This record gives sequence, structure tokens and C-alpha cells, in this order.
Amino acid sequence: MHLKVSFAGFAMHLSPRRREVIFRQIDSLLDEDEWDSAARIPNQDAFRTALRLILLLASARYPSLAFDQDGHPVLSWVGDNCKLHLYALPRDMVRIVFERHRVDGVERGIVSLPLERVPDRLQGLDLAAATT
Amino acid sequence: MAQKPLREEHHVVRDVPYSRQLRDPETDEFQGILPDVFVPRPVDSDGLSTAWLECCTEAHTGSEFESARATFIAANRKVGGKAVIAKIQVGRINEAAAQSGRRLRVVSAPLPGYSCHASIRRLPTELDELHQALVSAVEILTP
Repeated sequence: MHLKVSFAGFAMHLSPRRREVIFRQIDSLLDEDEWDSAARIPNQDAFRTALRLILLLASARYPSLAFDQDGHPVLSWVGDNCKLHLYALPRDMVRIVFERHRVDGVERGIVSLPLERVPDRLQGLDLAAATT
Repeated sequence: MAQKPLREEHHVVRDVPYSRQLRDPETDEFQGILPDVFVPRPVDSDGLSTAWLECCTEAHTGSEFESARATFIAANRKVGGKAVIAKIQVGRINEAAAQSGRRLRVVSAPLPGYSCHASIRRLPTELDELHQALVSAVEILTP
């Protein structure tokens, strides 16, 4: 419920379609029958980071939304040769996790950084296209 | 209870709840699992909890998915209707560990009322590239 309240504060900045998609994702994820009883409840502060991230990136492709076992939201974009995950953490921190298949092998990486530096770092890692 | 290393050709399984799956945001189609599915929590001092698949299929009838699911439920684990099961061969775990310069132990670790319990020991508790490699090596079992 707290997540929906947080989301309502951001919703006005989103298109109706995007608003509907995110709202439906939250609903499905919080379904009591599906929620992992061993996982921590969603972290409110980290969820606000995720919402700021959505606004900051304004990605053309909608991300998949999930939660790690510590209750941190994870935005993911899955492509044929690349998986990009942005772990939203409390206090506007983000962990970029990626895996891409290249001709010469698989490249994986993990980078933690403040939210406002994510767009530049995605460009630098040549990952910005994964969200478009 | 006695613990023994699992053979390279055997498998361990872990249930992955809906909240830790990658789903198409518009169609809800399954696309994979989060890269942190093999990260133990700091409180998991005995390693990452899994089930030994060959034990599950011996104890329960049906498909590998059904046997594993029945094992988890018998051990009082909640398995949601949209949960999938990640299956990984012990040899692939050891291979991924070796590539990242680590040595893991995959052992049968029976618990009271949960004889097929197994554990992956010495996994790092912070997400790193080894966890990503393990997720890349899994086969997903679905109903």
C-alpha cells in the first residue's frame, strides 16, 4: 500500500499508459499468494529511488519490475544479446548490473553509483541503447 | 545428519518466486530471473539453501518441476502459482566458480523433515559476476 502512495506522487509525471503499466506491475508483485515469505518487505526509500530513476531515464522501452530479497526494486531490460538491471537502493544509490554477449565472449559487470550519474554511465558503458 | 558432496552430473534446484523473475511489463511473459537469485543472505551461514533434484525425483512422482515443487511444499516452503524453478548442474557450478577463481562446495545437507535439502557453500554474500554466471547456467523448469 505504501508503494502505491509513493507511486501516486510520481504518477502525474508519467504518461497514462506508463502509469497503468507500472501500477499493474506493482499489483502483481505484491500479490500475497506470490510474494516470497522469506523476502524482506519492499524498501520504501529504495522504491522512491526507482521512481526517480524511471523519470530520469524516460526510457522508450518499459522496464520489467522485480524485487530482490532485500526488498530493493530492480528495473530490467532484456534484449537478445544484453541484459541490463538497475537495482534501486536507498538514499538515491543505484547498482548497474549487466551481461552482454559479444563475438569474443560474455561480458559482465557491476557498478554502484549515485542516481544522477546513471545516464552518463550507461552511455559510457555503451548500454543506453538497451533501454530504447 | 550426514552431509556429502554431490556428484558433478547431479543437479540442485531453487524456487524463484514471481517477485524475482523478469517479466515483460506489458504481456507478463516470462523472460528470465534476477542475477541475484544465487546470493545467500548474511544469515545463511550454512550456505545457499537448495534441493537435490535427483533426490526429489526419487521421492516424488511427476515431472522434475512437480517433484521439486512437492519437495519444497513438503518442507513447508511457500511456492506461488507463478513460481519457476531454477535447475543447475553441480559441474556447471564448479566450472563457474573455477572461472572466477573460487572453490565452492555443493553438498547434500539433509534437515529434519527435509531429506533432499542441499547447500551451496562459500558463495559470496554480495552480488558479483559469479552469481551472474550461475544464473546464466540455469535451466528453468516450469509447470
